[in-house]
Amino acid sequence: MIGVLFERPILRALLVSTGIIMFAFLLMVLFKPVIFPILASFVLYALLQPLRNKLISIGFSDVVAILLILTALVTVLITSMILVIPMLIDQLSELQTRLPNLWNQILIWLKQVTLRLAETTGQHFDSEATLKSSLSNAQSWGTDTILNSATLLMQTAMALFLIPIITYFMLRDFQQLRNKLMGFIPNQGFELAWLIYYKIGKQLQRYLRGVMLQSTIISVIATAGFLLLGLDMALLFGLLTGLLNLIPYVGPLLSLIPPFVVTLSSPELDTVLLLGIPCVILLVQVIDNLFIVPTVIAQTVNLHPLVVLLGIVVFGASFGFLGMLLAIPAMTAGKIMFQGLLYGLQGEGPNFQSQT
Amino acid sequence: MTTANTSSIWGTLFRKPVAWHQQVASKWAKTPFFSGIPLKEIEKLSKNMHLRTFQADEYIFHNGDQGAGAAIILSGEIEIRVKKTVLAQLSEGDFFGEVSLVLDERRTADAIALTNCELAFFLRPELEEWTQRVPHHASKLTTNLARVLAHRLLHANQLLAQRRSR
Repeated sequence: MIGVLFERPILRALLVSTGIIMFAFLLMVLFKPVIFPILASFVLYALLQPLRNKLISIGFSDVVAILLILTALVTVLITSMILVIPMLIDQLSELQTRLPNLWNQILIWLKQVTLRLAETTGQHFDSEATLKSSLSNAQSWGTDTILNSATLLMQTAMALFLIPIITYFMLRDFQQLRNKLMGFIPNQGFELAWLIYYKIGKQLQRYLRGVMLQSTIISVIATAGFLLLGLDMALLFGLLTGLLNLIPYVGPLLSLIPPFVVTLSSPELDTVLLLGIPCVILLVQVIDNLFIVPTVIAQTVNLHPLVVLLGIVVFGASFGFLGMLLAIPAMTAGKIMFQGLLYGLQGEGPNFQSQT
Repeated sequence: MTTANTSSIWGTLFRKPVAWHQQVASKWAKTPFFSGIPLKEIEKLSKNMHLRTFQADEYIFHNGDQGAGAAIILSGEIEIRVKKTVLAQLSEGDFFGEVSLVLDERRTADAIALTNCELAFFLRPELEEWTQRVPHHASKLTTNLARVLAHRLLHANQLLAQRRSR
């Protein structure tokens, strides 16, 4: 009975895909401490590989092409660090000085709310105790955040050091390593495996280029919008909006929080800003969904919204923010793999490329 | 005799071992496929080709399999069949499966190893990547490929005409 079931292409495709996905998941768990630099290097590899091909086609040797690309990359990284990072640090420290104001504001509101509640219901709430416990929680959260930030800073420094090195070796040796690994695939499935690999690679490369472009456009529009509103730290929040937009559905909502926090922390409440921030985010979303997604992203990702949402929750719970960013490309790869295996195992019917 | 022995000793000591991709390249260079393309360029391309060994009676591909590219025989013999009809017997230096370099279609025949054999596969995505890297050589190869396929078509037409005239 089980043997007969296993002869069905759909079950075999499902079983093989599940096995590969679980293996990939296990690898990600094992390499969790260095997962960020490895993935960032993969992203850079995918983005820079066509440029390398272009340089080789002009007449540069392989090594010279790689070195030229990496020199340009490191120069861009250092220049942007020199130009943007001090500005971001200034804006972050400003945010830090404003946080006590926000707490005070919350305290005042809470007092007002409890007073009103007491007036209308006739019952008194112990707002002082609630506030004290909330504050102590907030204090410990703050300490944790600072400690986490220190670790994050260390990890970022490590990543910045590792990324160019890993990218160099990937550009130089990845194809040979990949060929060796693919050599372990049995003769029967080797052609199909290569087709699936190339299809996934092409689709992910297209997706990556698309989201990079999308993120840049959204960051520019959001920064311009925030600047027009007169919001402090407009650059920081604009960049954050572009980055958070990579997380479907949840990202735009998350990008509302930081500018709101800053507006609420100012000594006098600015209602224009409070109304303007959601308008900017809404405008960004309209532009994104009407113009950017249909032209840049839609062709590369074709997943059901529910699958996307569940994927974001599962990946987010397992790998944090990075997992949320990874959810869509990982699920796209899984889908292509399953479809490719299914069409390959069916042995008849339409071809794989036109179906995916 | 002595000279030959000496040369073989010195040759063994100092001769650079021929890398597998050079062997593959020299085989491809003799086919109409790569005519007019410099050997160095074929060697570069061969580095990304895929060596596969098959046992006697093993299927290289089945009719209906998703095809990914062409293969050249480095050693051994193979047979191309449709059901029980033998279409061709191929040996060292011959190539087959070239339709898959152009079309994303399923294989239309079976390929079976008659003896233990070694093949080097050249896949469609690699041809596409090569086209981006060295377009002028790649265009030469696609012209050659078109010629090979056109010859096959002419041959098939002639066979069909002969059958009908009978």
